[in-house]
Amino acid sequence: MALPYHVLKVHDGIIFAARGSNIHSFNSNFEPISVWKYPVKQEETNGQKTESETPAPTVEAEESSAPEGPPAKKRKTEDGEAAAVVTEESKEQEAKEETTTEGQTETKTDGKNQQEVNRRSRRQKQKQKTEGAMAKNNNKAVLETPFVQGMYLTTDGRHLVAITGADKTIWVFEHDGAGNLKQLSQRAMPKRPCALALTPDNKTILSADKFGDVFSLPLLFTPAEPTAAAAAATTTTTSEVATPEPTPSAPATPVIVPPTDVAKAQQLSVKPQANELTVHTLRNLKALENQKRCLERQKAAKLAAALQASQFEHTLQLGHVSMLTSVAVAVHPSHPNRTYIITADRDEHIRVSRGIPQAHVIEGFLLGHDEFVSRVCIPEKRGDVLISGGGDDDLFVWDWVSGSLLGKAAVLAEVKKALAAEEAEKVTKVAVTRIFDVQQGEKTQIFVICERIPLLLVYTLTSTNTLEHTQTLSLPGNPLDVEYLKAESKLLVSIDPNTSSETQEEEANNGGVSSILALSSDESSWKVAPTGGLKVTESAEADNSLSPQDLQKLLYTTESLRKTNKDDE
Amino acid sequence: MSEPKNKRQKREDYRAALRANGVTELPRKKFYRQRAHANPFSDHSLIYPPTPEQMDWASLYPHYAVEEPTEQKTEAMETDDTTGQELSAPAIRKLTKNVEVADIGCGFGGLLIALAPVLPDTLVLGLEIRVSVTQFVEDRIKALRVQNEEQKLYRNIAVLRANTMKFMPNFFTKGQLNKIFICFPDPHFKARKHKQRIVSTTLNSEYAYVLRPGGIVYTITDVPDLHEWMVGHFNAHPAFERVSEEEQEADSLVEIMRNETEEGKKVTRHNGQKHVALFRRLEDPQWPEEVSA
Repeated sequence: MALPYHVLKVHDGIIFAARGSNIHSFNSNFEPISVWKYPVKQEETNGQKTESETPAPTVEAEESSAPEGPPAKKRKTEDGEAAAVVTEESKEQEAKEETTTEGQTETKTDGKNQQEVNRRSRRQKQKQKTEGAMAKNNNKAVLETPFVQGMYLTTDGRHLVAITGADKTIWVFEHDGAGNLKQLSQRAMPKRPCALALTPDNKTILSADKFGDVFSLPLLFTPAEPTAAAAAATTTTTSEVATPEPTPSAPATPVIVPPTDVAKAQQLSVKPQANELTVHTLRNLKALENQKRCLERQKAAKLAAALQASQFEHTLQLGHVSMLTSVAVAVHPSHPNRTYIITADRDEHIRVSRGIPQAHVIEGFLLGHDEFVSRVCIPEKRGDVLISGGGDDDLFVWDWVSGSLLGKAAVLAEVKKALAAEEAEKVTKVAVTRIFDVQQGEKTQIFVICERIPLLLVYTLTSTNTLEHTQTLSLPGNPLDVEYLKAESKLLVSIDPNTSSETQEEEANNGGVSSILALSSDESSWKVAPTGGLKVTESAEADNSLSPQDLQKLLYTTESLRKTNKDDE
Repeated sequence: MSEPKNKRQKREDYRAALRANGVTELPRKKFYRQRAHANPFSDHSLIYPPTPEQMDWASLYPHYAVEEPTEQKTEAMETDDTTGQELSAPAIRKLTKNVEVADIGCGFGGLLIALAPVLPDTLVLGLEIRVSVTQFVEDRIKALRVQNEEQKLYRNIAVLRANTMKFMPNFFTKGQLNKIFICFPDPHFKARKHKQRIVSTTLNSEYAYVLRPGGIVYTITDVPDLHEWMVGHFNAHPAFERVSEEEQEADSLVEIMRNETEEGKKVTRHNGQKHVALFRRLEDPQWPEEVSA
């Protein structure tokens, strides 16, 4: 299995390409510059841990204090590899729920605790099984691989921010301008971030998560008490790969709760939410007594956890009751001093809120999608227009500040047109994964990628705000991401080499399967440049840890946002 | 469902008969029982319009519809409709006035029915997530309308099945509402369920969006901690301020809210406490740049 470069980011002739969990950088001739390797075997987020020596008692306290708590939502793999699982049903899980830590039997834990933890882990696993989670176990192993989900650059190009999926972590790197990355920080969010945006002043990260919340975090932060590992990571010289050494001990995953939760935990009443007057049956009364006892024990544990966890500042700015898919910070040309936050979710909504510090004010909604929205794009030079796409057959073009729909542009129809007849018949729906704008002189072009469709759709945004389809480009494999090398007017499209239609002969001639294509344009159309792409060879790049099916599950996640099993009660 | 078959059968027979006879008598609650909780995060097969403009209000308030003889009822658009259809769909009948009061989680509709004669010129909408309960309220309103045809009562209330936590902006435009009632909401005692509570920092922004400045959110609960939670979250939200005690007690709707909801009556029977809090929607703040300018 060859791993594709599934996320691209370009700054001033430097190409950052995420491949699996690692980030490679190239110059514009695709000569490799450096690789940042995801710290494998390292216990997750221990870079932030301040109390890595003493978490064992905390673990025990939490475990014992919540005997009737929910089944484990997160679970360590048997070999203790850094990985966490988010079950599919986890939507309703609450933001500060503790991660359970079974399976993470560490050297510091004494034997008794270890036994206890193991016993619980077994029990919880059994519980999960009885709850019918068995079928999902296969998926879990896959979802544990912390692939890079997105990369974002500050406007000055000096910092790169990346999110990795399974471990919910936001990474900040310093970029020296020549393609070398220095890891500055890693922050594990309470919920899995789906998309990020950076404020125009490059000081704040907005993280939109799976549970619908948008948190703001300062771009730069220093852990209060950096551990040896964090220090090692930050002092790695810029010229070499930043690979922090695995640290010996970090038994507990830090529980990240919003800073206010410290206060909340301190105030946490020892009396339960119900009282004798609201509970009417004998059995409920008994449960109430039980609850009271539990709460008392929990209070102590929660306080400890909250204190330990509030190591970095993150503020809740706004939220949907739906998984967020895209977030953007926008400035409308009519009011250059106003910033807006635009968020899109799985329930067809696009929300326009004011920017920080007034993010609680909802200015409006862009309503009209019938399926999930997966991407929003505000072209750089056309800040008054927003283009959105997702599970619908069309792209929507909005005047986002007034909330009016300007028009639609067909996606499914264009895809069907471009595919061979029998292929076209099979395609009944599309899931837009990328909407990317390129400004060439006065011309605003929009490139669109749909999941598992080996085509690149090209549109032009006219001055009258209509989106005209101008070209459909056939690609040798499924496109994953698209970026633009401004200096050379080259469009880069990363391809999943496993879906490549290139014959072996072609591969041999080209020196490998195309992984990133370079496209150049003449006046009217784009075509694949004969040279200047990136090839990979199967043998050298093989990765045995993932089966083809698993890789597909990690790479193609957008279509799964579509609602299928509507549960009716 | 683990319900015995005969019970379900009885229920279905009852409802079918009720419909066949044309609803004239009040529905009986026992045929509409449903589990008290619904998960607001799951994908129910809900029907909601893509935008408020496409909402078919006329089918809910037929007496307030603008007269357009040729039009027939159109169901609200379903989500899985093909795109473009909503543009070609038949024009939706407009109402002479908009809904201005919403009862979120209206349950069996006690408050709606009590409000109908008190707010005769206002359209009141109950929103409920549970299918059977919504059906009950619908049948109840139908029966009441028939029974009170001469007095023209209960024409200004209606009920809708909806998940307001997700889809409120699909029904109401910005600043459309004047009052929102949140009566005896599901307390979600467990900490990990707090995100399911109907009042939260992030949801309050949506209430602020649909409420016009000066509009009021009415809350009532018998759970002291939930009361504190709601007060805490509304107070913390810059768009709301708590209404003073005197003003609260002067509001005639507060008494109705205390005594007319089914939950309210139940709490009275059990000698429980009732905690009321009202919050006023404030004007949106000026943009930061305007403040400094």
